[in-house]
Amino acid sequence: MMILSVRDLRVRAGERLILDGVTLDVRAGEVCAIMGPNGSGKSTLTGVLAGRPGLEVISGTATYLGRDLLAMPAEERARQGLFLAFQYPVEIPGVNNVYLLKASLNALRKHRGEPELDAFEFLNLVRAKIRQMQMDESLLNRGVNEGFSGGEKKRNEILQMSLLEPTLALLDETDSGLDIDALKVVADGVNALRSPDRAIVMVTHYQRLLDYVVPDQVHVLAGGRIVRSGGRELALELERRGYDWLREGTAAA
Amino acid sequence: MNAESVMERIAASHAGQAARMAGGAAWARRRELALARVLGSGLPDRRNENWKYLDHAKIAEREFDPAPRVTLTADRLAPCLLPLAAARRLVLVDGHFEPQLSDADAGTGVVVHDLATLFSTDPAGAMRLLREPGDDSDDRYALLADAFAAGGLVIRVDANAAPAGTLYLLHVSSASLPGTSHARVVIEVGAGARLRLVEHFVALGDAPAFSNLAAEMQIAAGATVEHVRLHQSGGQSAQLETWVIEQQADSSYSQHLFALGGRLLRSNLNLSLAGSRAQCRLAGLFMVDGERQADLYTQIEHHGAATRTIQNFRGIASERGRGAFNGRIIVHPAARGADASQSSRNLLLTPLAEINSRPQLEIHTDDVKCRHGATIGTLDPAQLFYLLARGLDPDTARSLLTFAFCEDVITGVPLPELRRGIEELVVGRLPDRDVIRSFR
Amino acid sequence: MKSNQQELESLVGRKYRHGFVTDIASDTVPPGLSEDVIRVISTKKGEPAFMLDWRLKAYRRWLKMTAPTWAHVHYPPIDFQGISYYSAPKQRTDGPKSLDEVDPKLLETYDKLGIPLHERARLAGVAVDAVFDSVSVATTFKERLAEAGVVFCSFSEAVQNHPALIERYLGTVVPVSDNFYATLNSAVFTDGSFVYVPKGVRCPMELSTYFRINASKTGQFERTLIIADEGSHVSYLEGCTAPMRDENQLHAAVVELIAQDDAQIKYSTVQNWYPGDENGVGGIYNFVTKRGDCRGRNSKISWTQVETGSAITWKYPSCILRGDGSVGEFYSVALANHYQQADTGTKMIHMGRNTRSTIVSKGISAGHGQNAYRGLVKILPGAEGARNYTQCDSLLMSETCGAHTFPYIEVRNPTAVVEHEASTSKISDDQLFYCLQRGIAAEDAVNMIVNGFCKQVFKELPMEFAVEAQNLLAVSLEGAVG
Repeated sequence: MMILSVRDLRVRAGERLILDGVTLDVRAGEVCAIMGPNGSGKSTLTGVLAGRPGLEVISGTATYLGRDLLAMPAEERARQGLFLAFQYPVEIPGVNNVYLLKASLNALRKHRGEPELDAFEFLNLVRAKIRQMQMDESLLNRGVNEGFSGGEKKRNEILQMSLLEPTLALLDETDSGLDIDALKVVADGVNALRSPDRAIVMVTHYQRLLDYVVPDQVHVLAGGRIVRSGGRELALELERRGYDWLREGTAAA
Repeated sequence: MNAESVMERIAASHAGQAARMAGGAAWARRRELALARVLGSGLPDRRNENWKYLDHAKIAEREFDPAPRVTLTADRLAPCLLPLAAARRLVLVDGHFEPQLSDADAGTGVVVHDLATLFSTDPAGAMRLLREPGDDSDDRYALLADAFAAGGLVIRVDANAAPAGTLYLLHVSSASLPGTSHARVVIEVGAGARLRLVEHFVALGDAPAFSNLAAEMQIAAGATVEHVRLHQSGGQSAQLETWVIEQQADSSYSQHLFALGGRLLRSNLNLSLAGSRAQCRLAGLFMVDGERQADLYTQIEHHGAATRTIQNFRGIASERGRGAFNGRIIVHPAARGADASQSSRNLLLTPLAEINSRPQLEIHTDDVKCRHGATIGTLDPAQLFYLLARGLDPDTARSLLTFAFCEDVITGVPLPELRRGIEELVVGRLPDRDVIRSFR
Repeated sequence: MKSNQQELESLVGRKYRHGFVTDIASDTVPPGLSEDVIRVISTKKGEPAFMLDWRLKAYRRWLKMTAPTWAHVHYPPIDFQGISYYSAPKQRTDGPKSLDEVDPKLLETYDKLGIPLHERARLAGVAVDAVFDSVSVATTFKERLAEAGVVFCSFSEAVQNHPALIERYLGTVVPVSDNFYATLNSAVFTDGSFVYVPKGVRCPMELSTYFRINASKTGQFERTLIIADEGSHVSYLEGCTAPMRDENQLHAAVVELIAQDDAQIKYSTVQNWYPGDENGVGGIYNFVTKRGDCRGRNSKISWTQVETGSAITWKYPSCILRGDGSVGEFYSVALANHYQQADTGTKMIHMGRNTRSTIVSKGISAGHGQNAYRGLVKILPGAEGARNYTQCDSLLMSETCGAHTFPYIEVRNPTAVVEHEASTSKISDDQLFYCLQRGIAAEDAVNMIVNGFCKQVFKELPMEFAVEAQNLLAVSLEGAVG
């Protein structure tokens, strides 16, 4: 089953054209990695799919579970099971982390026609997940991401993801800034989510994460387009040779 | 309405009341003198830099004669009361102390005098107690209160006393008819004493009443005061207040000011950190919607060495609301090692609302650390997107972020039940209040 | 070793280097102000009738005004009848035709000031208009600029040769009745610079005016008008000095800038009027009104100022951001040493949509100096999406100085974002010690630290002047440490 289908997507931020015709298919059960040098448009791609403001779609389409993704407001996309793990999760002092989790989970459950969880059920669920993520339980009662270290923020994103059980998870450089232990925890969280009816898109600069979460597909984004696609071996080749040879390749072509 | 007619009406009101006011010849003279000074210099207007954001016409249009005295029953008051456990209550109605509505015992080590009585029994003592306002424009309304000085309270906390519970000072504006009331409050906190004071302003009716409070607090060496001030008057009420606070060495003062009610509020605070190592923490929040306006003015003067100020004010304006923060910190030459920080953050939510902010630092010595910051803007789009990306409704997300914006000031309120009460009041002022309540 | 404090306090003290007097015969109108004096000025300059009417209108208005008192500065009342409103070096009546005809004493004066007026000299890439007391004595590189279509001349010349432009633009940014000193200037101004950059022209060189007060008991009232037509660019710099005199002299200038669609004006000032001596005797009262009007869409006006001189400085170079997408900038270093007083800052008035402004102000206070930043950021209801960022830092170098920050932030549009940050502290003992420990002399260390503090502003200056500004700051601070 096709979960996400992007066709010839062109996106502008302010005056700058960032995505210049991206085409991408993600099927159920797949883990797909999008790699690329800095400034290639990786974060713009996940952003535009999640409905980040300030990005303007010039042309192209994105279809999610057969529906026009780009026509939906951001919260609707989230409720339809699309999850973005942010590269730089924002701090929201004054909004309690655990309340956000509960409000978010219940918004999704309500949308799916499931009963809302009561406080007791919810806390049990969160506690189990937080142990899994090896996070300090006290982080639950802080403001959202407030004063979290870089690693804690990333774990918090994965915690939210495992709680919300999305159909399509977009991970924007979730591996950057993590030490090896944290990377493993994050990878375990992602692997636990793998299932035949879900899909995961991992955006990353390095292939390190792919040692722990083995992708089915690897796409290389450069200059706002997917310039090459392949399997796992493409990531290894990129690590060996860097990104420059690809640019030369496209220039020659 | 022109300024002249305002002065004429004030003079007429004074002429009508002067004969009835207690205190003998000395007080009559002092009131006459104060009146003459007010009439001579006029009330502040927009041309004055410290008063430029206030809609003075909203005061000028008030009735300056007092409203007839009303007798209130405890039942009438009950719905307005804050749910404070173990609080000793003192009630002022239109500026007059009401013993029958107040607790007879204000707590161990706390002595309360009714000013109205004091004017009759000990006018000379009252003369010593009540500060004579200066010529500064910041003090002009206090001067007006001096010209009409008749009622109010004196509260003394003995040295080293630590009264259990909270002193709950309720300012009631009857507001059944238009009218002006003036009140004086004098608080003396002895050396090493502790005081927790909650001031609460309510209006019972919808008439356009004008309340003018002139208050002062002396905080002796080593004393600690926690002061919460909640303005919750509804409807048309206009409130002017002038607080003058002086802190001696090693004293500590904290204030949480919530401007959540009334048609107009102008709050003046002039705080002097006179003694070494004295410190103050001031937090404030205004929320103005409808046609309401709040204008919060503070002047903090560092005189003592190693004195410290932390000021954190927030403001939210929507609909046609108008809010202003005007905060001045002055570090005098002797205040070596002073440390002051000042923050004014504001949310402007709708096109017709207006916010003005003037954080000011005036530094007269080099051994200081001072900084301030001010922002006026809308909700942070990155935070908003984060919440939407987690499936929250846009309205909920906005309300939630607005509430979170206030939370920083609310969390510091010393009493949990009061904190919850204020949270509830703030939430009640937001759109989508039920959603936020369920969220919490 | 002396304490850091002593080091700091003894760094101020080298003498003002531009304090000499040029001995030159002057044509000076006796002190006093009246309609007759204004008629004399207008006649001497051979002005058309509209100029005299304009001046008289301003004068009549000024008679009804009172001097402002809100600034954080203190000075005795000024005797406006004790000032001469016109003083010009005597020269042949028809004025010098070329630089060769300029009085050698004047050329020598500017040489001594480091502003050679011969075109091959050090400032070969900069066109200079030299204003001596009340009149412009020379303008360099006129021909080369004329080739590009740029008009750069003295104000008097512009009144003669481009009256239509003057009549159309004069007083449209700073109206006659704007404020006490601007109105006075409108009545009595004698000269100044005029710049017109036509559509689409990038001015090929830096333009610069060098102001010199020489005669005693005179005021200097110059007027500068710069018009950048659609899509044009111009960078302009002014410098100022005066002799050391025991009396206070008044300088009340008005500067008007107009930027049309897509035009950019960069206006830089290195102000080094005589600041008075270490006891606060003498020095210039510098009461100046500078305002830029971003009339056109996507226009930009950028003010950079280094204010080291004057006994009192009172100026707020401002931007009216009228055109959609227009940009205003204000970068300032202000130094108040000895008994100098500075009350300076800016106004950013956001009217158009998506207008942006940046304010960076660095204040340095030493001795008994008093330094205040005063700034207004006003967002009007139509300024959808407006942005302002303000940063004000103050550096304190003695226990007797003062540093004050008075921002006014007024917002009427909910889509605007305005941020203001300010800090005040003394020179860090840790930084100073670190430098000393690395073998750097105290004076050099302070200079390094102060320069670091001001770097954000210096980098906005045209390159030729950035170094000069740094040196000037070092000289002005000499003796503040030692």
